[in-house]
Amino acid sequence: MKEERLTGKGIVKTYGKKDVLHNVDLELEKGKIYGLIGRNGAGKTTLLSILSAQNPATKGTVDYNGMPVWENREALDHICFSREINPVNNSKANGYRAKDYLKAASIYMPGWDQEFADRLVKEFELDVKKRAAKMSKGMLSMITIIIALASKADYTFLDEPVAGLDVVMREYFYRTLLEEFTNSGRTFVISTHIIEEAADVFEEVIMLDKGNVILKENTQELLGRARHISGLAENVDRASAGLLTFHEETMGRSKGVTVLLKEGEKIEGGTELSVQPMNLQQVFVALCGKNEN
Amino acid sequence: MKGYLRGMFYWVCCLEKLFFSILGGVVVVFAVFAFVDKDMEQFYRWTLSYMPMMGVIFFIAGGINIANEQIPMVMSLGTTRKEAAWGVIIAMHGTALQFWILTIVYNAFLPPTYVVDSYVKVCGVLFLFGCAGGNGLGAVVLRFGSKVGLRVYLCSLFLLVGGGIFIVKLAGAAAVISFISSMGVLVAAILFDAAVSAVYRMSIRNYEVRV
Repeated sequence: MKEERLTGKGIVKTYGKKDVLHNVDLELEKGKIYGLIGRNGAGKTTLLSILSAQNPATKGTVDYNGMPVWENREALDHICFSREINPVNNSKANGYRAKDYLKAASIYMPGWDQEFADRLVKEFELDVKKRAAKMSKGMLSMITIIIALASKADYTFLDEPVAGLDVVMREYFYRTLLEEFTNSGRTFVISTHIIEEAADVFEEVIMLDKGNVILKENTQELLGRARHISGLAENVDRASAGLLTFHEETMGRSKGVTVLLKEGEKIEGGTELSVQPMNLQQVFVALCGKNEN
Repeated sequence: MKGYLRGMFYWVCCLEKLFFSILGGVVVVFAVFAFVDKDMEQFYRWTLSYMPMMGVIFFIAGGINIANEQIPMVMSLGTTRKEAAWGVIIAMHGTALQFWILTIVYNAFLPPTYVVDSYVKVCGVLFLFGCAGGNGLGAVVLRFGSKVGLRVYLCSLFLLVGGGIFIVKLAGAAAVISFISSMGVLVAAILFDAAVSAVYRMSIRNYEVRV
Protein backbone atom coordinates (compact mmCIF):
# COMPACT_ATOMS: atom_id res chain seq x y z
CA MET A 1 0.00 0.00 0.00
CA LYS A 2 1.41 3.35 -1.06
CA GLU A 3 2.22 5.50 1.95
CA GLU A 4 0.64 8.94 2.02
CA ARG A 5 3.04 11.79 1.66
CA LEU A 6 3.28 15.40 0.60
CA THR A 7 6.37 16.02 -1.50
CA GLY A 8 7.94 19.23 -2.66
CA LYS A 9 10.71 19.00 -5.28
CA GLY A 10 13.00 21.76 -6.47
CA ILE A 11 10.78 24.52 -5.06
CA VAL A 12 12.00 27.96 -6.01
CA LYS A 13 10.14 31.15 -5.20
CA THR A 14 11.23 34.48 -6.54
CA TYR A 15 9.72 37.90 -5.89
CA GLY A 16 11.10 40.31 -8.43
CA LYS A 17 14.84 39.72 -8.37
CA LYS A 18 14.87 38.26 -4.89
CA ASP A 19 14.94 34.50 -4.35
CA VAL A 20 12.96 33.64 -1.25
CA LEU A 21 13.22 29.86 -1.57
CA HIS A 22 16.16 28.12 -3.23
CA ASN A 23 15.56 24.68 -4.69
CA VAL A 24 13.78 23.25 -1.65
CA ASP A 25 13.22 19.50 -1.56
CA LEU A 26 10.95 18.31 1.21
CA GLU A 27 8.99 15.18 1.96
CA LEU A 28 6.33 15.16 4.67
CA GLU A 29 5.18 11.74 5.80
CA LYS A 30 1.79 10.97 7.22
CA GLY A 31 1.34 10.81 10.95
CA LYS A 32 4.10 13.12 12.18
CA ILE A 33 4.36 16.45 13.88
CA TYR A 34 6.99 18.56 12.18
CA GLY A 35 8.47 21.72 13.61
CA LEU A 36 9.38 24.26 10.96
CA ILE A 37 11.83 26.73 12.43
CA GLY A 38 13.75 29.57 10.91
CA ARG A 39 14.58 33.18 11.44
CA ASN A 40 12.35 36.02 10.35
CA GLY A 41 12.34 36.15 6.57
CA ALA A 42 13.74 32.64 6.18
CA GLY A 43 10.80 31.65 3.98
CA LYS A 44 8.66 29.58 6.36
CA THR A 45 5.30 31.12 5.48
CA THR A 46 6.17 31.15 1.78
CA LEU A 47 7.07 27.46 1.92
CA LEU A 48 3.84 26.55 3.71
CA SER A 49 1.85 28.66 1.22
CA ILE A 50 3.39 26.80 -1.69
CA LEU A 51 2.93 23.37 -0.13
CA SER A 52 -0.76 24.17 0.35
CA ALA A 53 -1.14 25.73 -3.14
CA GLN A 54 -2.09 29.07 -1.69
CA ASN A 55 0.77 30.58 -3.65
CA PRO A 56 2.37 29.35 -6.86
CA ALA A 57 6.02 28.31 -6.91
CA THR A 58 8.24 29.99 -9.48
CA LYS A 59 9.73 26.57 -10.16
CA GLY A 60 9.31 23.09 -8.77
CA THR A 61 6.43 20.81 -7.95
CA VAL A 62 4.34 19.87 -4.95
CA ASP A 63 2.56 16.53 -5.00
CA TYR A 64 0.17 14.84 -2.65
CA ASN A 65 0.32 11.07 -3.11
CA GLY A 66 1.66 11.61 -6.62
CA MET A 67 -1.07 14.13 -7.55
CA PRO A 68 -0.04 17.73 -8.15
CA VAL A 69 -1.50 19.94 -5.47
CA TRP A 70 -1.85 23.09 -7.57
CA GLU A 71 -5.51 23.76 -8.43
CA ASN A 72 -6.35 20.17 -7.57
CA ARG A 73 -9.51 19.87 -5.49
CA GLU A 74 -8.87 16.22 -4.66
CA ALA A 75 -5.47 16.99 -3.16
CA LEU A 76 -6.49 20.24 -1.48
CA ASP A 77 -9.28 18.50 0.43
CA HIS A 78 -6.51 16.84 2.44
CA ILE A 79 -4.47 19.95 3.17
CA CYS A 80 -5.18 22.89 5.45
CA PHE A 81 -2.96 25.90 5.95
CA SER A 82 -4.61 28.01 8.58
CA ARG A 83 -3.09 31.43 8.14
CA GLU A 84 -2.55 34.27 10.50
CA ILE A 85 -5.53 36.64 10.55
CA ASN A 86 -4.85 40.33 10.28
CA PRO A 87 -6.86 42.93 12.20
CA VAL A 88 -6.35 45.25 9.22
CA ASN A 89 -7.37 44.32 5.68
CA ASN A 90 -5.98 46.46 2.86
CA SER A 91 -5.64 49.50 5.13
CA LYS A 92 -9.18 49.00 6.40
CA ALA A 93 -10.21 47.55 9.77
CA ASN A 94 -11.05 43.87 9.37
CA GLY A 95 -14.79 43.77 9.96
CA TYR A 96 -15.15 40.00 9.91
CA ARG A 97 -16.18 38.32 13.10
CA ALA A 98 -14.73 35.07 14.41
CA LYS A 99 -17.97 33.32 13.50
CA ASP A 100 -17.61 34.49 9.88
CA TYR A 101 -14.24 32.74 9.63
CA LEU A 102 -15.54 29.61 11.30
CA LYS A 103 -18.64 29.57 9.11
CA ALA A 104 -16.56 29.94 5.95
CA ALA A 105 -14.21 27.17 7.16
CA SER A 106 -17.18 24.89 7.82
CA ILE A 107 -18.37 25.42 4.23
CA TYR A 108 -15.03 25.01 2.50
CA MET A 109 -13.44 22.23 4.52
CA PRO A 110 -14.93 18.86 3.71
CA GLY A 111 -13.83 17.21 6.96
CA TRP A 112 -14.93 20.04 9.21
CA ASP A 113 -15.84 18.91 12.74
CA GLN A 114 -18.35 21.42 14.07
CA GLU A 115 -18.59 19.75 17.48
CA PHE A 116 -14.83 19.94 17.92
CA ALA A 117 -14.84 23.57 16.79
CA ASP A 118 -17.57 24.43 19.30
CA ARG A 119 -15.65 22.72 22.08
CA LEU A 120 -12.49 24.65 21.20
CA VAL A 121 -14.39 27.95 21.09
CA LYS A 122 -15.67 27.21 24.58
CA GLU A 123 -12.27 26.12 25.92
CA PHE A 124 -10.56 29.18 24.45
CA GLU A 125 -13.39 31.37 25.77
CA LEU A 126 -13.50 33.02 22.38
CA ASP A 127 -16.19 35.63 21.72
CA VAL A 128 -17.23 34.63 18.21
CA LYS A 129 -19.26 37.80 17.69
CA LYS A 130 -16.27 40.06 18.15
CA ARG A 131 -14.82 41.67 15.03
CA ALA A 132 -11.24 40.83 14.07
CA ALA A 133 -10.27 44.51 14.20
CA LYS A 134 -11.14 44.57 17.90
CA MET A 135 -9.40 41.31 18.77
CA SER A 136 -6.05 40.88 20.46
CA LYS A 137 -3.26 38.95 18.72
CA GLY A 138 -3.98 36.01 20.98
CA MET A 139 -7.65 35.89 20.02
CA LEU A 140 -6.76 35.98 16.35
CA SER A 141 -4.38 33.09 16.97
CA MET A 142 -7.22 31.18 18.61
CA ILE A 143 -9.32 31.43 15.44
CA THR A 144 -6.38 30.14 13.41
CA ILE A 145 -5.90 27.22 15.79
CA ILE A 146 -9.60 26.32 15.85
CA ILE A 147 -9.78 26.30 12.04
CA ALA A 148 -6.64 24.16 11.81
CA LEU A 149 -7.69 21.60 14.39
CA ALA A 150 -11.36 21.36 13.42
CA SER A 151 -10.51 21.07 9.71
CA LYS A 152 -9.49 17.44 10.27
CA ALA A 153 -7.24 17.75 7.21
CA ASP A 154 -4.63 15.03 6.78
CA TYR A 155 -1.91 17.65 6.40
CA THR A 156 -2.39 20.67 8.59
CA PHE A 157 -0.04 23.63 8.65
CA LEU A 158 0.02 26.22 11.37
CA ASP A 159 2.09 29.36 11.05
CA GLU A 160 3.15 30.64 14.47
CA PRO A 161 -0.07 29.49 16.09
CA VAL A 162 0.88 30.45 19.63
CA ALA A 163 1.85 34.05 18.87
CA GLY A 164 0.05 36.21 21.39
CA LEU A 165 -1.36 33.33 23.45
CA ASP A 166 -0.79 33.42 27.17
CA VAL A 167 1.06 30.52 28.78
CA VAL A 168 -2.14 28.80 29.96
CA MET A 169 -3.59 28.81 26.45
CA ARG A 170 -0.28 27.69 24.95
CA GLU A 171 -0.26 24.69 27.26
CA TYR A 172 -3.84 23.96 26.33
CA PHE A 173 -2.97 24.20 22.63
CA TYR A 174 -0.07 21.74 22.88
CA ARG A 175 -2.19 19.34 24.93
CA THR A 176 -5.06 19.49 22.44
CA LEU A 177 -2.70 19.14 19.52
CA LEU A 178 -1.16 15.98 20.94
CA GLU A 179 -4.59 14.60 21.78
CA GLU A 180 -5.79 15.25 18.24
CA PHE A 181 -2.61 13.79 16.79
CA THR A 182 -2.95 10.63 18.88
CA ASN A 183 -6.61 10.17 17.95
CA SER A 184 -6.36 10.94 14.25
CA GLY A 185 -2.77 10.36 13.10
CA ARG A 186 -2.88 13.59 11.11
CA THR A 187 0.30 15.30 10.00
CA PHE A 188 0.97 18.70 11.49
CA VAL A 189 3.61 21.19 10.42
CA ILE A 190 4.02 23.96 12.95
CA SER A 191 6.21 26.96 12.47
CA THR A 192 7.14 28.75 15.64
CA HIS A 193 9.68 31.08 17.21
CA ILE A 194 8.99 29.75 20.71
CA ILE A 195 11.15 26.73 19.99
CA GLU A 196 11.94 25.32 23.39
CA GLU A 197 8.34 25.16 24.47
CA ALA A 198 7.30 23.31 21.33
CA ALA A 199 10.35 21.07 21.02
CA ASP A 200 8.79 18.23 23.00
CA VAL A 201 5.91 18.11 20.54
CA PHE A 202 8.02 17.93 17.38
CA GLU A 203 8.85 14.49 16.12
CA GLU A 204 10.92 15.97 13.32
CA VAL A 205 12.40 19.37 12.93
CA ILE A 206 12.89 21.23 9.66
CA MET A 207 15.27 24.17 9.78
CA LEU A 208 14.99 26.81 7.15
CA ASP A 209 17.70 29.41 6.69
CA LYS A 210 17.65 32.09 3.96
CA GLY A 211 15.38 30.02 1.76
CA ASN A 212 17.26 26.74 2.15
CA VAL A 213 16.31 23.67 4.14
CA ILE A 214 19.52 23.19 6.08
CA LEU A 215 18.30 20.36 8.22
CA LYS A 216 15.44 17.88 8.41
CA GLU A 217 15.85 15.33 11.12
CA ASN A 218 14.23 13.45 13.94
CA THR A 219 14.33 15.81 16.90
CA GLN A 220 15.71 13.33 19.41
CA GLU A 221 18.38 12.13 17.00
CA LEU A 222 19.43 15.70 16.31
CA LEU A 223 19.66 16.51 20.00
CA GLY A 224 21.55 13.27 20.51
CA ARG A 225 24.32 14.38 18.20
CA ALA A 226 24.47 18.08 19.05
CA ARG A 227 27.05 19.02 21.67
CA HIS A 228 28.52 22.24 23.01
CA ILE A 229 32.25 22.00 23.73
CA SER A 230 33.90 24.65 25.87
CA GLY A 231 37.26 25.10 27.56
CA LEU A 232 40.69 26.43 26.69
CA ALA A 233 40.85 27.37 23.04
CA GLU A 234 43.67 24.95 22.13
CA ASN A 235 41.85 22.07 23.85
CA VAL A 236 38.60 22.87 22.13
CA ASP A 237 40.34 23.09 18.74
CA ARG A 238 42.02 19.73 19.32
CA ALA A 239 38.81 18.05 20.43
CA SER A 240 36.73 19.45 17.59
CA ALA A 241 39.28 18.83 14.83
CA GLY A 242 37.60 16.96 11.97
CA LEU A 243 34.12 17.46 13.42
CA LEU A 244 31.33 19.58 11.91
CA THR A 245 31.44 22.75 13.98
CA PHE A 246 29.16 25.76 14.22
CA HIS A 247 28.96 28.96 16.15
CA GLU A 248 32.32 29.59 17.72
CA GLU A 249 32.45 31.90 20.73
CA THR A 250 35.76 33.16 22.01
CA MET A 251 36.35 34.83 25.38
CA GLY A 252 39.99 35.52 26.08
CA ARG A 253 41.75 32.13 26.15
CA SER A 254 38.47 30.22 26.38
CA LYS A 255 36.41 29.04 23.48
CA GLY A 256 33.06 27.36 22.88
CA VAL A 257 31.84 25.60 19.75
CA THR A 258 28.75 23.67 18.76
CA VAL A 259 29.36 20.37 17.01
CA LEU A 260 27.03 18.02 15.19
CA LEU A 261 28.44 14.53 15.47
CA LYS A 262 28.07 12.10 12.62
CA GLU A 263 27.55 8.42 13.22
CA GLY A 264 30.54 6.87 14.93
CA GLU A 265 32.16 10.19 15.83
CA LYS A 266 32.97 11.13 19.41
CA ILE A 267 34.62 13.95 21.28
CA GLU A 268 38.03 13.25 22.79
CA GLY A 269 39.08 15.53 25.58
CA GLY A 270 38.54 14.21 29.03
CA THR A 271 38.30 16.54 32.01
CA GLU A 272 39.96 19.50 30.24
CA LEU A 273 36.75 20.18 28.38
CA SER A 274 33.12 20.76 29.19
CA VAL A 275 30.88 18.82 26.81
CA GLN A 276 27.20 19.65 27.22
CA PRO A 277 24.08 18.44 25.47
CA MET A 278 22.03 21.14 23.81
CA ASN A 279 18.38 21.91 23.53
CA LEU A 280 16.67 22.56 20.22
CA GLN A 281 16.72 26.33 20.59
CA GLN A 282 20.48 26.31 21.23
CA VAL A 283 21.04 24.10 18.17
CA PHE A 284 18.93 26.44 16.07
CA VAL A 285 20.80 29.54 17.24
CA ALA A 286 24.11 27.80 16.58
CA LEU A 287 23.12 26.81 13.06
CA CYS A 288 21.17 29.88 12.00
CA GLY A 289 22.30 32.63 14.32
CA LYS A 290 24.84 35.36 13.62
CA ASN A 291 28.60 34.69 13.84
CA GLU A 292 28.16 31.21 12.49
CA ASN A 293 31.18 29.59 10.80
CA MET B 1 -18.07 19.42 -8.43
CA LYS B 2 -18.36 19.43 -4.64
CA GLY B 3 -15.78 22.20 -4.44
CA TYR B 4 -17.76 24.33 -6.90
CA LEU B 5 -21.00 23.76 -5.00
CA ARG B 6 -19.39 24.55 -1.69
CA GLY B 7 -17.94 27.75 -3.09
CA MET B 8 -21.21 28.75 -4.74
CA PHE B 9 -23.05 28.23 -1.48
CA TYR B 10 -20.64 30.54 0.30
CA TRP B 11 -20.86 33.36 -2.26
CA VAL B 12 -24.60 33.10 -2.51
CA CYS B 13 -24.86 33.33 1.30
CA CYS B 14 -22.69 36.46 1.35
CA LEU B 15 -24.52 38.21 -1.48
CA GLU B 16 -27.97 37.20 -0.22
CA LYS B 17 -27.13 38.54 3.22
CA LEU B 18 -26.29 41.90 1.67
CA PHE B 19 -29.28 41.82 -0.68
CA PHE B 20 -31.77 41.18 2.10
CA SER B 21 -30.16 43.84 4.29
CA ILE B 22 -30.78 46.37 1.52
CA LEU B 23 -34.28 45.02 0.94
CA GLY B 24 -34.94 45.25 4.66
CA GLY B 25 -33.91 48.90 4.57
CA VAL B 26 -36.25 49.56 1.64
CA VAL B 27 -39.14 47.85 3.45
CA VAL B 28 -38.56 50.03 6.52
CA VAL B 29 -38.58 53.15 4.36
CA PHE B 30 -41.71 51.87 2.62
CA ALA B 31 -43.39 51.38 5.99
CA VAL B 32 -42.49 54.91 7.03
CA PHE B 33 -43.92 56.39 3.85
CA ALA B 34 -47.02 54.15 3.87
CA PHE B 35 -48.00 54.37 7.53
CA VAL B 36 -46.39 57.50 8.89
CA ASP B 37 -46.11 59.99 6.02
CA LYS B 38 -48.97 58.44 4.10
CA ASP B 39 -47.42 59.87 0.92
CA MET B 40 -46.78 56.98 -1.43
CA GLU B 41 -46.06 59.22 -4.40
CA GLN B 42 -42.73 60.22 -2.96
CA PHE B 43 -41.93 56.60 -2.23
CA TYR B 44 -42.69 55.48 -5.77
CA ARG B 45 -40.60 58.26 -7.31
CA TRP B 46 -37.78 57.58 -4.91
CA THR B 47 -37.63 53.87 -5.56
CA LEU B 48 -37.98 54.25 -9.34
CA SER B 49 -35.01 56.62 -9.37
CA TYR B 50 -32.80 54.85 -6.90
CA MET B 51 -33.46 51.20 -7.67
CA PRO B 52 -31.28 51.05 -10.80
CA MET B 53 -28.62 53.18 -9.11
CA MET B 54 -28.57 51.02 -5.97
CA GLY B 55 -28.38 47.92 -8.11
CA VAL B 56 -25.31 49.16 -10.00
CA ILE B 57 -23.59 50.38 -6.81
CA PHE B 58 -24.34 47.04 -5.11
CA PHE B 59 -22.46 45.13 -7.79
CA ILE B 60 -19.55 47.49 -8.10
CA ALA B 61 -19.02 47.70 -4.34
CA GLY B 62 -19.63 43.96 -4.06
CA GLY B 63 -17.08 43.14 -6.74
CA ILE B 64 -14.35 45.17 -5.06
CA ASN B 65 -15.24 43.93 -1.58
CA ILE B 66 -15.17 40.31 -2.70
CA ALA B 67 -11.76 40.73 -4.31
CA ASN B 68 -10.28 42.68 -1.40
CA GLU B 69 -11.58 40.73 1.55
CA GLN B 70 -13.40 37.54 0.71
CA ILE B 71 -11.18 36.06 -1.98
CA PRO B 72 -8.11 36.10 0.33
CA MET B 73 -10.16 34.48 3.07
CA VAL B 74 -11.63 31.67 0.96
CA MET B 75 -8.33 31.06 -0.82
CA SER B 76 -6.73 30.51 2.58
CA LEU B 77 -9.41 27.89 3.32
CA GLY B 78 -8.34 25.64 0.45
CA THR B 79 -10.56 26.55 -2.49
CA THR B 80 -9.03 26.48 -5.95
CA ARG B 81 -8.78 29.64 -8.00
CA LYS B 82 -11.06 28.19 -10.66
CA GLU B 83 -13.76 27.43 -8.09
CA ALA B 84 -13.46 30.88 -6.53
CA ALA B 85 -13.69 32.63 -9.91
CA TRP B 86 -16.71 30.67 -11.15
CA GLY B 87 -18.37 30.93 -7.77
CA VAL B 88 -18.10 34.71 -7.81
CA ILE B 89 -19.10 35.07 -11.47
CA ILE B 90 -22.18 32.87 -11.12
CA ALA B 91 -23.26 34.28 -7.76
CA MET B 92 -22.93 37.88 -9.01
CA HIS B 93 -24.98 37.10 -12.13
CA GLY B 94 -27.52 35.24 -10.05
CA THR B 95 -27.90 38.27 -7.82
CA ALA B 96 -28.21 40.55 -10.86
CA LEU B 97 -31.03 38.34 -12.08
CA GLN B 98 -32.60 38.52 -8.64
CA PHE B 99 -32.48 42.31 -8.69
CA TRP B 100 -34.05 42.26 -12.13
CA ILE B 101 -36.85 39.91 -11.06
CA LEU B 102 -37.51 42.20 -8.09
CA THR B 103 -37.75 45.12 -10.52
CA ILE B 104 -40.20 43.20 -12.72
CA VAL B 105 -42.39 42.29 -9.72
CA TYR B 106 -42.26 45.84 -8.38
CA ASN B 107 -43.12 47.25 -11.81
CA ALA B 108 -46.10 44.89 -12.02
CA PHE B 109 -47.53 46.23 -8.76
CA LEU B 110 -46.84 49.92 -9.47
CA PRO B 111 -49.89 52.12 -10.01
CA PRO B 112 -50.18 52.75 -13.79
CA THR B 113 -49.40 56.46 -13.46
CA TYR B 114 -45.89 55.67 -12.23
CA VAL B 115 -44.97 52.98 -14.76
CA VAL B 116 -42.15 54.14 -17.05
CA ASP B 117 -41.75 52.69 -20.53
CA SER B 118 -38.80 50.35 -20.90
CA TYR B 119 -38.01 50.72 -17.19
CA VAL B 120 -37.57 46.99 -16.67
CA LYS B 121 -35.38 46.68 -19.77
CA VAL B 122 -33.20 49.63 -18.75
CA CYS B 123 -32.78 48.22 -15.23
CA GLY B 124 -31.78 44.84 -16.67
CA VAL B 125 -29.11 46.41 -18.87
CA LEU B 126 -27.82 48.57 -16.01
CA PHE B 127 -27.63 45.60 -13.63
CA LEU B 128 -25.70 43.65 -16.27
CA PHE B 129 -23.27 46.54 -16.73
CA GLY B 130 -23.05 46.86 -12.94
CA CYS B 131 -22.26 43.16 -12.60
CA ALA B 132 -19.61 43.40 -15.29
CA GLY B 133 -18.23 46.56 -13.70
CA GLY B 134 -18.00 44.89 -10.29
CA ASN B 135 -16.27 41.83 -11.70
CA GLY B 136 -14.00 44.04 -13.78
CA LEU B 137 -12.89 46.03 -10.75
CA GLY B 138 -12.50 42.79 -8.86
CA ALA B 139 -10.23 41.50 -11.62
CA VAL B 140 -8.11 44.65 -11.35
CA VAL B 141 -7.78 44.17 -7.58
CA LEU B 142 -6.88 40.50 -7.94
CA ARG B 143 -4.28 41.17 -10.59
CA PHE B 144 -2.78 44.50 -9.51
CA GLY B 145 -3.71 44.88 -5.85
CA SER B 146 -6.22 46.92 -3.88
CA LYS B 147 -4.47 50.30 -4.26
CA VAL B 148 -4.61 50.15 -8.06
CA GLY B 149 -8.17 48.80 -7.82
CA LEU B 150 -9.24 51.75 -5.69
CA ARG B 151 -7.75 54.24 -8.14
CA VAL B 152 -9.47 52.58 -11.09
CA TYR B 153 -12.73 52.52 -9.11
CA LEU B 154 -12.57 56.23 -8.28
CA CYS B 155 -11.68 57.20 -11.86
CA SER B 156 -14.46 55.01 -13.26
CA LEU B 157 -16.96 56.42 -10.77
CA PHE B 158 -16.02 59.96 -11.69
CA LEU B 159 -16.30 59.25 -15.41
CA LEU B 160 -19.54 57.29 -15.11
CA VAL B 161 -21.38 59.64 -12.78
CA GLY B 162 -20.01 62.79 -14.38
CA GLY B 163 -20.48 61.43 -17.87
CA GLY B 164 -23.96 60.16 -17.06
CA ILE B 165 -25.16 63.48 -15.67
CA PHE B 166 -23.67 65.34 -18.64
CA ILE B 167 -25.31 63.05 -21.19
CA VAL B 168 -28.71 63.17 -19.48
CA LYS B 169 -28.58 66.97 -19.33
CA LEU B 170 -27.51 67.15 -22.97
CA ALA B 171 -29.82 64.58 -24.54
CA GLY B 172 -32.61 64.38 -21.99
CA ALA B 173 -33.69 61.48 -19.81
CA ALA B 174 -36.17 60.09 -22.36
CA ALA B 175 -33.54 59.83 -25.09
CA VAL B 176 -31.08 58.21 -22.74
CA ILE B 177 -33.67 55.66 -21.59
CA SER B 178 -34.55 54.94 -25.21
CA PHE B 179 -30.89 54.41 -26.09
CA ILE B 180 -30.18 52.15 -23.14
CA SER B 181 -33.25 50.03 -23.89
CA SER B 182 -32.16 49.43 -27.50
CA MET B 183 -31.12 45.97 -28.70
CA GLY B 184 -27.64 47.19 -29.62
CA VAL B 185 -26.87 48.28 -26.06
CA LEU B 186 -28.22 45.01 -24.66
CA VAL B 187 -25.96 43.01 -26.98
CA ALA B 188 -23.02 45.24 -26.05
CA ALA B 189 -23.78 44.67 -22.36
CA ILE B 190 -23.89 40.90 -22.82
CA LEU B 191 -20.62 40.85 -24.77
CA PHE B 192 -18.91 43.19 -22.31
CA ASP B 193 -20.08 41.04 -19.41
CA ALA B 194 -18.82 37.86 -21.07
CA ALA B 195 -15.44 39.47 -21.77
CA VAL B 196 -15.12 40.70 -18.20
CA SER B 197 -16.01 37.27 -16.83
CA ALA B 198 -13.20 35.77 -18.93
CA VAL B 199 -10.79 38.46 -17.70
CA TYR B 200 -11.82 37.74 -14.11
CA ARG B 201 -11.02 34.08 -14.56
CA MET B 202 -7.63 34.95 -16.01
CA SER B 203 -6.79 37.52 -13.35
CA ILE B 204 -7.13 35.00 -10.51
CA ARG B 205 -5.05 32.31 -12.24
CA ASN B 206 -1.84 32.97 -10.31
CA TYR B 207 -3.40 34.76 -7.37
CA GLU B 208 -1.24 34.74 -4.25
CA VAL B 209 -2.74 34.72 -0.79
CA ARG B 210 -1.02 37.32 1.32
CA VAL B 211 -1.70 38.34 4.88
